[in-house]
Amino acid sequence: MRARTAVEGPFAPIRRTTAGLPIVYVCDRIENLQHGLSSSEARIVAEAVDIRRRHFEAGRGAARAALAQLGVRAGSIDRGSRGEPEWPDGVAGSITHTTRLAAAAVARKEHVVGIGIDLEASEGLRRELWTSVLTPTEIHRVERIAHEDSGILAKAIFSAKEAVYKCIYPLEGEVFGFDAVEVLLNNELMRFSASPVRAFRGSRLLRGGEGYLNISTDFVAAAFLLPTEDAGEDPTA
Amino acid sequence: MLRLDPSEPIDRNQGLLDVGLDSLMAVELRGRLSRGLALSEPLPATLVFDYPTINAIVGLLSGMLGGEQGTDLDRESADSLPPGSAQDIDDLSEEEAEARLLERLDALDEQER
Repeated sequence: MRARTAVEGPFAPIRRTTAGLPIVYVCDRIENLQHGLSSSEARIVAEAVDIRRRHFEAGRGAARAALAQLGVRAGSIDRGSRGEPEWPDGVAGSITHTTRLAAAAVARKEHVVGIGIDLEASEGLRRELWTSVLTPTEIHRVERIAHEDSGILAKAIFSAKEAVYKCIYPLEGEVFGFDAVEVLLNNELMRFSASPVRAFRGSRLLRGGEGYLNISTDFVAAAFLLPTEDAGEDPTA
Repeated sequence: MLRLDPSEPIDRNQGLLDVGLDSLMAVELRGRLSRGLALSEPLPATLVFDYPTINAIVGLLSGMLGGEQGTDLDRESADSLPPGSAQDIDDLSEEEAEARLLERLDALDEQER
């Protein structure tokens, strides 16, 4: 295995689980990823407050580090109309950050059609936000869990849906809300599946996706991958 | 909610993403507006995508809260407004809606924090 120069942080267990797919994850502290911006990237955050600019720069820093490990040089990673990063041709990727960490995941499209990642602080999702994020079925499932853990599970579903959105939206270009997708966590809380609640462009892609979670005391990390057909066997199957 | 310095008010035409709004905060904002303003119809799930500035949101809300042209402000006509503007909406109702919105948000902030 190639040596990895950058840390993978909360995504390390996810990468190990998906070792059959050559995906590069880079995750590091915000302050370690201040490597500068291209002039067009700098224009994206020209109006932004300082902290937002630092987070953005860290995300781009993680993305460039990940691309370098993939053997792709990217001068500039610009932003699409809905905030999605514009990756070099032939690359699928995703960027996320919290107030402490930024992360990026990239893969070649011959292996992965789409990828979405999300990282959240592992504070539970407050009860009053559940109806904005969870479907009635998801609320029912979460409520069956012991009360002290239910907020974290709700947060994991939130994070999973963010990852799903970031994977699917760039492929089909239709925005969909939290109410459009239902997420089912597995018993070990390490994987999830996503199914459409209603049809939208991209909804048919959900069934072919693979969801991964890493819930720790500090973070909830989620990844949703859409492997290219015949990209290799699922190592966990 | 944005954890910004309250002594430096944000520009109402500045993109909410530019002032550090993340997706969880967006959920929170939408929830607070829906509850605080007791809206009869739900706000779009993609609120901050479709209405990316405070002024754009105020424009939407002033319609939903029954400004003169309120019922005309459906998604389509709102989308046709230039980003960050609410200029087709009657000024008075916009200001009323905004004052009400800010009052409500302040009240909610006190309740919740």
